[in-house]
Amino acid sequence: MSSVQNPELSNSKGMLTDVTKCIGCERCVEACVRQNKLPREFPAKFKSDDGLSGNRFTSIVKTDAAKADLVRMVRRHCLHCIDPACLAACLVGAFKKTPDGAVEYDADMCIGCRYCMLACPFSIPRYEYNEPLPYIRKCKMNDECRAKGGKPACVSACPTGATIYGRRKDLLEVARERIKSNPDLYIDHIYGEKEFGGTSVMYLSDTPLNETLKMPTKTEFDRLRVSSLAQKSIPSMVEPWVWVTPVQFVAVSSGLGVIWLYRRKKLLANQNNQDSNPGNENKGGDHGNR
Amino acid sequence: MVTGRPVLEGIKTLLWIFFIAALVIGLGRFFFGLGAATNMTDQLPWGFWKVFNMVAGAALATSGFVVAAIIYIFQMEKYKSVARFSILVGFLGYGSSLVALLFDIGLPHRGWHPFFMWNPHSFLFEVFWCVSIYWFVTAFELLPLITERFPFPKFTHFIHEVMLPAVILGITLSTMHHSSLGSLFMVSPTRLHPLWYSLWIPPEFFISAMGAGLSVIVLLQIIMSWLYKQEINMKVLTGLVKGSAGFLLLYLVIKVADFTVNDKWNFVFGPDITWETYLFWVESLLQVIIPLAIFLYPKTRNSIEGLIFGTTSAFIGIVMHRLNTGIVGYFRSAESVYVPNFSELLLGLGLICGAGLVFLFLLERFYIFKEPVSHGDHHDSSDIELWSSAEAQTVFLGSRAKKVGIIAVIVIPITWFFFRDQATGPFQPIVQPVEASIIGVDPLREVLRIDGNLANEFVDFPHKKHQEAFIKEYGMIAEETCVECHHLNLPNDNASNCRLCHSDMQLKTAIFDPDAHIQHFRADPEFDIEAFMKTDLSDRRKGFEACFDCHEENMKGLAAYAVKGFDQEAPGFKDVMHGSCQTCHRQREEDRAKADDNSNCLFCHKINP
Repeated sequence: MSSVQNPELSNSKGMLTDVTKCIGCERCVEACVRQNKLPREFPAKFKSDDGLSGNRFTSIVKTDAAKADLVRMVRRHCLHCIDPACLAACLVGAFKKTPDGAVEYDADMCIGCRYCMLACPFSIPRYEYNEPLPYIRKCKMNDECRAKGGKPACVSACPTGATIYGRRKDLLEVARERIKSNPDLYIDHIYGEKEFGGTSVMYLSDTPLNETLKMPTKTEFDRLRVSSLAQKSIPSMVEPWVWVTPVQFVAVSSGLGVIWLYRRKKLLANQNNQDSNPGNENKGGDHGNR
Repeated sequence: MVTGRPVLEGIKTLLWIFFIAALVIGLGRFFFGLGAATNMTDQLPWGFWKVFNMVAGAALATSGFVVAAIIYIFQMEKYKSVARFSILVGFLGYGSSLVALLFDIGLPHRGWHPFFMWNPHSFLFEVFWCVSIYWFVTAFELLPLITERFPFPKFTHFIHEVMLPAVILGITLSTMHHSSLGSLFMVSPTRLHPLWYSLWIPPEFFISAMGAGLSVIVLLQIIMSWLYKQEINMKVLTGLVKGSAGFLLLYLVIKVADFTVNDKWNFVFGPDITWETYLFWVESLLQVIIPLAIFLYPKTRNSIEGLIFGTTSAFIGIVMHRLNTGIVGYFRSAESVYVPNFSELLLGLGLICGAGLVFLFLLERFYIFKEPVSHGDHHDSSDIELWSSAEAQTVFLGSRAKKVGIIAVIVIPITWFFFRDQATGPFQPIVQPVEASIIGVDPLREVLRIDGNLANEFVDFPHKKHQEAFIKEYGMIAEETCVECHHLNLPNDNASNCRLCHSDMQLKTAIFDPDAHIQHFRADPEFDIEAFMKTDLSDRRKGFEACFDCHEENMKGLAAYAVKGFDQEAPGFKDVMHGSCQTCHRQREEDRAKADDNSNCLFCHKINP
């Protein structure tokens, strides 16, 4: 499985969103809708609170002004994990991580089991629930623009430069630089650097992201008593269990064979004993049960 | 073969009703989509069909492989009397689950994909392979049941010969997929509640499934023996529940160890007590504690009432455990609740009813309660009544076919009516129209609710705020503000005549002086005043053009549209509305001092919750 050290991904691209710069204008949403030629929004039943749906790949999440002193807007879209849970979960392998850094979905392979939706720690993949034959829909980091060597449309559209696009390595440096130059403003943490094995889309914030973005953070892990997993990607966490299965296949089947042989021998020995003493009551009892 | 009690006919009628209704729902799902047929959401993508029918269903149908292991591997001849019964339960249980999955997955015509497109890292891949192969193995194990009633003894004999490898394969696949069904939920450490999430899920699922499977087989055996007036072999049943108790005890030990090692007791005994804790207590009580108390105590274990009570409790408990792990445990992180709707329940349960019908059919026509004298050398064919053509006729013709037809005629329209009603429900817009008109006006006339294209989608337009802004920023008088925007067509009209509104052309108002109007024309030597006065203003297009030639400026938003064939047809309400809003707001945006971000579509076009 791929990991942070995967050489193929060393030059992978990513996005960095500075939460303090976002003004919530939704230009990125508009650009995404235009670029992907997305149809009208679904009726509200198929739209979740965070605004993402089968027809919206990105959205702006706002903090509840009633609850928080600081109102912040954050872009929500696929984080394009370095070791994606959806990729490991998909039973036909419809997801792939491109060297570009994007996690792409192949609709031609999908069977519609929705396991990727269950597996995604950020709850990003969406489903076309109103279609008789539905597909998974999610942000693909704008494959068309990337193919031409350009930026994703949402990044170009951002008027304040809250979202920037570039090599993940460079973005990390930019983020560190920003934290260094303005330590009073930012929380000293780059969300996405290590979360779930690292993500290609990262966030820099002055407010905890689990409140604004409803993103699972380390506190969440601590609360759930799985803190040892906080820095690991989900695939690497469950990987050992996957390889138990082939071992189990060999072990159980051969074990059963051995048990059968052993029991057989014992039964045969018993039978021989019985044959030598005809009129044994055991045999009669056996028949009675039927 | 066997004769049933009179109540059986009623039960069968009920099963048919539910089964036919389920088929109707299944058809509807392919017409209207999963969203209409189910209550699943993006946050809770696995619903009743997957978790109840597949995950819980597999646990309930564990009996097939456990009993096969007892009989073929451990060679305990005593339990042979429940062999066919339990393998059949396993086969039909898995069969109905697989059919339910065909409705649940989005693209069932691609169900064969995992056989060719591999992702061995996926738990679901493992489950898919094991379950589908296991199902064929159980079918193979059951083949003698059918073939022995037909005159090809050699084939039956051959199947008996190769039974052992098939049984070993079946058991192995079972141990694999039962643990993998648990591992499915291991991928969501942050989403599943810690009471059910654990890295120890695989053994927990496997062992609890075996415990429950044995209980279920005892319960079914008691019910079916009663229905078909068969003698109950208490010795066998108590033996089975002893096994069940063993597995449940093991499960309890693992669960306790899991909670201790992973330090999760605070969720059970406090201080982190939430509603999940109570649910967990009920589940544990039903799944483990009550059955264990009954099965471990010889007096209750040996009484029919005790067995019924204990096995029912284990049955409900295991279903609860699976539903909690697969659905309820996700509620907190999803911040939403999933309750299966009526069509989901109907399809899920109806398919099980269908499996029940097949079960009863086979029970009545083949040797299931009693296996005819054991196979092998002393095969006594006189024991077996061969299949006759008269019997075949009773299957498809006669009173049964008539009854099913009548049930279908009654059930299909009723189900379709209710499903149709429900299916169209969610597609209605959440914002209800204020009045059945194009513009709804709130009582204070501060906000207009506009539905330009009559699609029941509304945009809230702060009318009063705009008026105030014009007065404040441009120093207009109140009446003047209207003209800034309202040189429009009538709603939903293409070329409204100006006179429709300006019927007071002869009166002097704050914004219009008819005398000045005429004098202005006279002053212009190039203007053909005579032709203008003769213009037939009742003609819609001519009337509009007569005004628009001069008054383009007043109609700010319209300017852009003049280019695109404005002489042919005036823009509709929607175009004008967009033109007006965007023209002003984009202009303001260029003027940085007044910049706002109201110019993009999404500022207005949000579906308001």
